[in-house]
Amino acid sequence: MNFLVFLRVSASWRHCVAFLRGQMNAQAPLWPIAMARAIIGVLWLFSLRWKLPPDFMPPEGRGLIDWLRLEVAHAAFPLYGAFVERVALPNFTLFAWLIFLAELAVGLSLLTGAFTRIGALLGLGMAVNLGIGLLDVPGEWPWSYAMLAMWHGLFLVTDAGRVWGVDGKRVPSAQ
Amino acid sequence: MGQGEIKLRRVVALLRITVGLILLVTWYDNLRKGVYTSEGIVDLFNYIFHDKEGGAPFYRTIINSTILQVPGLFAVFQMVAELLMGLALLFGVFTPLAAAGATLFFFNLFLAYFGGLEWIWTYVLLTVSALVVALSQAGRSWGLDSALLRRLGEPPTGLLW
Repeated sequence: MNFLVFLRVSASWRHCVAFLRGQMNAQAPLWPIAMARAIIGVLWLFSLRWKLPPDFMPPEGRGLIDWLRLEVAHAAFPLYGAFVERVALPNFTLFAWLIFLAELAVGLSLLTGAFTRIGALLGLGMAVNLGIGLLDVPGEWPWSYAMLAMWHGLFLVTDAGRVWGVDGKRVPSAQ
Repeated sequence: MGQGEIKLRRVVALLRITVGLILLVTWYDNLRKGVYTSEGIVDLFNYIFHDKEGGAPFYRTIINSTILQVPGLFAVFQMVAELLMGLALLFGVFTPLAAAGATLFFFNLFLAYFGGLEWIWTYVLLTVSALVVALSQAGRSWGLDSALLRRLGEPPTGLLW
């Protein structure tokens, strides 16, 4: 009985390996990128938890305005810090809505693979903005934002929405 | 191979090089700080579990009963493993194998920091990046795996290059 189970598991494993090899050898590796696209879409949507309107504050912990203040206090680029201090913070509600809507749009676009290049372009801008703003904030790891920006650049230059995405329904992938 | 496929291979190669660089930069930083010593490993897990409040109870139990029983041995293993994974990914040699190892390593970090004060998505990004590199034969463009492929053909068993 155990031997039969072993054989079955072994055959399934061989089948999985053969499937992966077939996928990777026969085609350009777009499906792993599509998987990453959906996961990064969830990342953006998850990040909305602590910047929900109307006050853009979570029940506990830092909210959007606290992060903007940190960007001013630890600005890596004086010009950027001055912009946040003199333009973004005095018009916080406007900027908070813009950030909230942009992140929502990027999250939905990447999760569903709809208008992926537009979502990726917007996400690239947001990731670069985060990287610049949080570069010198204590406890932040710059590689996180470098990776985030790179992933959006990657979605921008590939057909990441055409596999497992709405874009694939409109324009089928070459694969 | 079409232009689209060449572009994709180069894109995942760029991802591989970035993950390799991150591993090597972090490795050098850890080496300088003395993380790869018996005391360094104990301090690291104290920092993660207490200062950062990371790790589910089951995960803490596993670490306490395994790694923290032999921190010196684990420190050497970690130092060698991180260096080899970083070099393999940077140069694109035995990429799927190295990236699979990196995926497990990053997923372990995800479990370690999960539920704590750290931004957990950093470890999701790292895990996904390494997983995509592992699944997409990213060493076959701008990597030594392409030379292995030319010289030896498709790997006989498993997903070596």
